[in-house]
Amino acid sequence: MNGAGKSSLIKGLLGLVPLKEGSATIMGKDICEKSRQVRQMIGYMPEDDCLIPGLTGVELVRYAGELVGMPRADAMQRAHDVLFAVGLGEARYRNVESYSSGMKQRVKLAQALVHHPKLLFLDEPTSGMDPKGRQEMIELIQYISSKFDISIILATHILADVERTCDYVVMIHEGRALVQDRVDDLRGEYSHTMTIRVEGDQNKFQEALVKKGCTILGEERQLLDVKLPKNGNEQLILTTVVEVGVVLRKLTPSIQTLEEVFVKRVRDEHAGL
Amino acid sequence: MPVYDQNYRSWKGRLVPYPRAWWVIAKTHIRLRWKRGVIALLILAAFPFLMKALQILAMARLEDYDLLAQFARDLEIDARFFRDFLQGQSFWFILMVILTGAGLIANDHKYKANQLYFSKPMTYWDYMAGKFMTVGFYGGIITIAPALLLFGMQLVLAENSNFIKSFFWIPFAILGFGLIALLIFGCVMLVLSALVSARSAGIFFFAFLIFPDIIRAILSNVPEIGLISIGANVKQVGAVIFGLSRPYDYSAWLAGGALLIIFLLCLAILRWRIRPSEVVT
Repeated sequence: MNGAGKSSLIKGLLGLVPLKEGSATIMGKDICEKSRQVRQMIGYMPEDDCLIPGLTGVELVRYAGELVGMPRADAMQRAHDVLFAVGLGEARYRNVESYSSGMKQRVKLAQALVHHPKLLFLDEPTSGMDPKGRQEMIELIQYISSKFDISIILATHILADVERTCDYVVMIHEGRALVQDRVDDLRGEYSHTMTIRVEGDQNKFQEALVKKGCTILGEERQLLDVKLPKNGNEQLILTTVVEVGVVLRKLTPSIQTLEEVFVKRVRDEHAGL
Repeated sequence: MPVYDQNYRSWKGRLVPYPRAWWVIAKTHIRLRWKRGVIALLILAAFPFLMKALQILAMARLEDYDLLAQFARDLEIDARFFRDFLQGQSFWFILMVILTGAGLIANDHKYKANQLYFSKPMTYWDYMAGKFMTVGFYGGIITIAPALLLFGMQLVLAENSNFIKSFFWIPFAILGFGLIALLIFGCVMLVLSALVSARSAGIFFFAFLIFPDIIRAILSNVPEIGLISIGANVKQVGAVIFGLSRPYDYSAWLAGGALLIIFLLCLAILRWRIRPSEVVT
């Protein structure tokens, strides 16, 4: 969600904004006491433009490399490599002000990657990109995190991107961590909840479900949210439909995406559950 | 196969534990500002240097250049000669400071580049030193460097050791005066660049220099009013450094104090304005 505090969290970890209370360590190093060492180990792709007018793509990436402590020759060589990797090989000699939004995102990723950091912070990496560019960016992130020894922290409100790229998720709402778990576990948690719509005797159908160990979570506009028992599956619903003699109009998992998990958790939070 | 599948490679090199970020910033911005406008200004600013060099040459070789003898007869190569040269460069110096310094911080604010800098292992002082060095380089190249060159030229062409015996301290005076001017004007420019856009910074800088001088001229019967003018204070201190009579009727100590206050004020404003990032709440 916008304004939840994702970017602020990253900026706090990077030392870009002072921490009012608490402490944090990154790879065993205190972010306040060893801030320079921490910042040397990580790469940061900011949400904002963050460009230096007058520099070409390759100069900007080399500049970032030198600032982080790379030898000049290595920084130059690496700038070319990384710009090719992010798909800006052809445009690397163009001034960065002339780049499109998508190209700016790519050059920001390149400057974060130039020194091959151990940890990469990506703040809204797909923001302002067209569908094709977004797809390529996500693929690149997946590629880097899977093939190289680089851990990635992705801050985004596009949860579909998180599902595709991340193993672990922390959902922040109004500055607080609402959910933190493995992405697979989080989706698995809701895999036993089904949404059902039937025509016929609703009460009889619900009673039959409860007798078979199901829990009725809610009913809204003839849609039933039902939690199946531990060993139950869709077959149990279908059997009950036949037994009770109602007509089944809809049967889907209640929550299929992280976005739905998030919405449900926020609703639960507001409802005080 | 996508391009990136073939190209991304890990880098196994070693990072310098404490990179000299100020140097990286300075050299990048010095190169960035090496544009047509700056080159033209450098050429124009070189004319006074050439005239002074010609003067030194004429003084040294009067008998060889009879035509120049009249031109050079009334001139003397002393402390005043070098002080006047430095003061004479002030117009070009101001233009150079504006041309190279106005966008230095303003553009970082405009493009939110501070996050890019401060997410790297560098400090606020690295950032400031890098930016200041950029202004300092171009300011120095038209003031301190040619003045030292003139001194060297005079040293080479001098017929005996009287000149070096009498004026061995001149290079230090050139450095002192030049650095004070650079420090004060450079810091004021950076402050304005940190407060407003690049274009406005240039305009405000001119205004900041001209208006106090106009007030000083209007209220000329009150000598201390000169304290509000940066230019007058720098000249006053410069005169003391070169051992010459003060151009204005107020204490050089007061002028030095005023410059110190301006400098400290600039540091405080820069510290307040330059933040790694803004948090939107």
